[in-house]
Amino acid sequence: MSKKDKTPEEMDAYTRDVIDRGLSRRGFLGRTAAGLAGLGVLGGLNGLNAKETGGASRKAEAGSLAGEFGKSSDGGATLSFLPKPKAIPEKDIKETLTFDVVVIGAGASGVPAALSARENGASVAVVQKAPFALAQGNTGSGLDLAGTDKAAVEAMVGRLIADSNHRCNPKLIRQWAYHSGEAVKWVIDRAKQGGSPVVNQGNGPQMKTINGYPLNWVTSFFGPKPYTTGEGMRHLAVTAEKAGVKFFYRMPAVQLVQNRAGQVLGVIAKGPDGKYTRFMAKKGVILATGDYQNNKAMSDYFIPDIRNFERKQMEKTGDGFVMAYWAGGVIEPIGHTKMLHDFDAGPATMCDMPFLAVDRGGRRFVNETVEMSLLNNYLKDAKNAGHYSQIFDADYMTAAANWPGRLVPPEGLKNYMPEEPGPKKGVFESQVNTYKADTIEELAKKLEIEPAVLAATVKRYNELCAKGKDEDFGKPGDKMVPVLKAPFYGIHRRVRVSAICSGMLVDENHQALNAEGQPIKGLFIVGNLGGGFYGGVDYPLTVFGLSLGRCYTFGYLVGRHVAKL
Amino acid sequence: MRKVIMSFLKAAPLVLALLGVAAFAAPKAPATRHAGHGLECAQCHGTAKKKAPVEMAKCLECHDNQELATKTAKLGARNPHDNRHYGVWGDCNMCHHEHKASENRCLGCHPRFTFKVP
Ligand SMILES: Cc1cc2nc3c(=O)[nH]c(=O)nc-3n(C[C@H](O)[C@H](O)[C@H](O)COP(=O)(O)OP(=O)(O)OC[C@H]3O[C@@H](n4cnc5c(N)ncnc54)[C@H](O)[C@@H]3O)c2cc1C
Repeated sequence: MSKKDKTPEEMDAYTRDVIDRGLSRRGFLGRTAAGLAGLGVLGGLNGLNAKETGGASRKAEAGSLAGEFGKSSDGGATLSFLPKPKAIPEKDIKETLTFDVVVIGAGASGVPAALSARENGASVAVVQKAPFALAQGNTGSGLDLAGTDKAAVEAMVGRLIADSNHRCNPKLIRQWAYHSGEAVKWVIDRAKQGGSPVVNQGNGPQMKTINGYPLNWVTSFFGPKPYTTGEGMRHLAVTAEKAGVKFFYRMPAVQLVQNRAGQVLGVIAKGPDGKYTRFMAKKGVILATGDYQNNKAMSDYFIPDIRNFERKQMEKTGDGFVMAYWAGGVIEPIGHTKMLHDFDAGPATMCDMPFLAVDRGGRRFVNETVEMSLLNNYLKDAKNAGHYSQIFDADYMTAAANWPGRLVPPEGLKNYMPEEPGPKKGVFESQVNTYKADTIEELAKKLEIEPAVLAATVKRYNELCAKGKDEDFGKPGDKMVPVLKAPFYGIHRRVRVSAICSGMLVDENHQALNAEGQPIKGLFIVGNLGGGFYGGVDYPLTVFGLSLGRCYTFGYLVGRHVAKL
Repeated sequence: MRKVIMSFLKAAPLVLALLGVAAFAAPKAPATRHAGHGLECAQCHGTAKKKAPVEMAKCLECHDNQELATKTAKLGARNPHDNRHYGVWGDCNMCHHEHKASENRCLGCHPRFTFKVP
């Protein structure tokens, strides 16, 4: 056992749990044959070691497909979505290029990682699957330590840990809390240098105090739509390219290069011509390939809750998971954290307003004070598939004046109505889905609901409003506002999967850990592919832009760390 | 779709023979446009016994993606051949099929991006 080795007792609770329950090539074997790590058997081609499988399982391997795919954490099931990389013959490798740092994936964490590594003196290559840098969303946030008391930072850390149902790695939350202000400011500055119209919205959309302590924010906003962080990362890539980072587009990474001792030495990527290029990384490979929402088998396994929801992203097939798993990494156990939103069908600022809400069939289904980001839990079935409608009447501007969020007046609502002619501003035109009608029945048709059903729901709701008591769902009386006066409005939302935010086990240097809790030399992981930052049922919206803020921050930190190795 | 088949039927009895061959070797082909233009299976699929799906690089040997993007620039709200997800590099196979009906892949997420995919 080397000096760095930690016994399970010395590990933090999070790491111990992920090693215990997570998926790794050697996890279930490690548990049955404890102490193998100490014997130093790590090794073999691509890190595979025949010895570790032992007699019985080796026999099983010989006769079946086992060994070609990953395994469930108890070793019982063979997982088709974790295929073992096939050796690529040397003759198919067109060339070998060498850099200090190789970043895989040019997204919200990869582009910052690359530029940060470059600014810290490393030669850097970015291998990117898409034809350009690609990411999503608008808002990415950090705590500005100037103006935020340490007690406030710690209170925020506590809040985020609670938001993750106490299943995250507190060290990573703290790292975001203490470094995000600096990192997000840096992203804003460098993206501007590349031509981005990004702005710092500061405290604008954020909570202003926590536990009575004032908070100060750096809120990067890449927008308004249709400009997003996708364009933002392309602008950041302009700066990175000027600084000397080399980008290789349309070149998906297909497998890692590992030596017999398990150290990651580089990556092999497939070019548009079908030929392979090997990128050697003297200091380290940073995996930043995002989530796996477009890999159906992988999604169905790790987070079956989202089986029936549409996806907001494309080509996120979990390539990084497969690569990191076969390099010896540990995938967080089943029950991953999901992010499902619809900020587009109607105004984002009205999405959490507790108007009457009905499911796809036209029936009330929840106490509407439940936030939009949680409604997916009620709409998981194949029929609803995330669809619901918010319904309100002509008096909404006064009736909901003091509700959470910000009301958009009727004139502004037109911007969200597909039936209104004329160009729209600051929205995705194909996603707006707000309607107006003179009768409930007519509105129902526009919302794709059976008119009689909606009419009955509204009738019942209005009765409850008249009583001032929500006998059906217990919503507070002051939020029971009837739907009486034409014109009637409906926002037909459909929450879809924005992201899945659980990933691979990493330490505070964002270095991947293996099933013995030891760092895998040369392998670093950031963005949604990195684990430990969440853990709850749903991604929390306490901090507006936490996800992108975390991606930027960890990209910024890991780039610097690896460059200095 | 029916229209396309009809025009094949009328215009090219010889092609029909080819179609027959294609249908024998490959999954049922309701309207193989390429076969309709006289292409043979091997020109896209190669001569290997086990026929692999055709990669986009093959399409690009005859079709210019930049040119296509110019042609469809005014098709509707968005240019399917130069979009926010893939630029001009979207894989042809996502929408255009030979052995089954083509599909409009935008529609799933963008309900009003309606146009016919040949
Ligand atoms: C519509 C939408 C809106 C959102 N809005 C917000 C918001 O306002 N605020 C917020 O905080 N979060 C938001 N999110 C979530 C946020 O966008 C993501 O969590 C974040 O982009 C994840 O960053 P990442 O670096 O992990 O992955 P990504 O940004 O997705 O980057 C991964 C990159 O890796 C590349 N890649 C994948 N596989 C390979 C491979 N094999 N080889 C090479 N490259 C590969 C991909 O092409 C991609 O560019 C939103 C998400 C969506 C979908």
